[in-house]
Amino acid sequence: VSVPDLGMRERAVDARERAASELFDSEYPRLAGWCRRLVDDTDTAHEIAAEAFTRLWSRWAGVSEPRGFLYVTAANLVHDHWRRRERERRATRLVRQPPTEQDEPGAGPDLRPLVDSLPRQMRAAVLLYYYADFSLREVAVLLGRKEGTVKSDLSRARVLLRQRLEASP
Amino acid sequence: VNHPDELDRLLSSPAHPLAPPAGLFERVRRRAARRRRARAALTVSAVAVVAGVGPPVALQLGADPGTPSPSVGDPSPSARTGPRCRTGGLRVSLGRIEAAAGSRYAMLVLANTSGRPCRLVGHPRVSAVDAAGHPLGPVASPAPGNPRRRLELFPGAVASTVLHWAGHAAGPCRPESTYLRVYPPGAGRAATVHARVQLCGDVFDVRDLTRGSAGPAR
Repeated sequence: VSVPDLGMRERAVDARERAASELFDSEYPRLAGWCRRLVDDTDTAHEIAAEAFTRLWSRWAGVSEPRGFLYVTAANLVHDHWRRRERERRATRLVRQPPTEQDEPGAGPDLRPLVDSLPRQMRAAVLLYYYADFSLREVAVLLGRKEGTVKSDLSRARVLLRQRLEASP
Repeated sequence: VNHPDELDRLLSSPAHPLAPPAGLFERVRRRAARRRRARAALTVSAVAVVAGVGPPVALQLGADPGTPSPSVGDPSPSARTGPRCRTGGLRVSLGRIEAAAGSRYAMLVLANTSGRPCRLVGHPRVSAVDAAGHPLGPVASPAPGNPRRRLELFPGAVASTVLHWAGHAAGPCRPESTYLRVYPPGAGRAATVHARVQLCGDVFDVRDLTRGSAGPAR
């Protein structure tokens, strides 16, 4: 098919595929890297990032904030992953997890279980603001809350996290 | 760990980007397209399943599990019978046009913006028109096995349906449309939405409306 024969629709499809490919190229590595910090291994990080993109593109209607949609979806998937892991651990009555792939040296104590133990709204705000580098205003839009509420959630989360860090051995 | 700045260091340590495995983009695109089609098929089969059962059943079609979706209004089977939804009290929007195996699909969404509950039964009357409003091809016919259902739409709630037509392989094509003209069920006045739809052959059908949404259309 030569280019002049392409109808409106085909050109629209081309433009959509190009836009999708650009979004993937620019956002996937960051999103997957973000997931990697929140889960135990690289494969799980890729699975979660790929699933977030699949959900974005499997919607019939457009999403006005694709980047925010990706991170909010991935944050929910990460949380589901943790809960599943916790259930499995209980079911198999393992006292300790076998050693898994190590974080980079110098990453310090594991903040993930602490972040995950935060109340839901606080957790989402922490994940998006600190881990995904969204601005306060963007986090407020993504979570559908007031900027002031997000700000106070973040500062309460910091207090809680600090207390729990100090209490951990 | 007790050092007060430990928290800041932990929270602000940068993430290292991870390059996608080879071929992942194409796999994800294919998987997303499969899910979209499956959901369109689900809309159809869910309508068939509840046929003859009686009371409306709350269905969240088109919404991704685990992600926020707009309110779908009152799911109660004993909802009162409101007045019929009027064209002026509905916002009509069209989702993306999807191509699959020679067919084209698009989700049509009707949102109750009237501020009070209203009722929709059956399917909208949909036709493709040019910029001057002249029809391009037939009015969409009700798809076979299309049962009527009464939907109570509370303020802000949405109903949706899938339009289906054929692509080039089906036969001679009509010119591409500028708009779709949409008469909500029972309404005497049409809503108009921008849509580039090219009908080919003589396939053009519409399902009954079901509760739920595909999210805000672009």
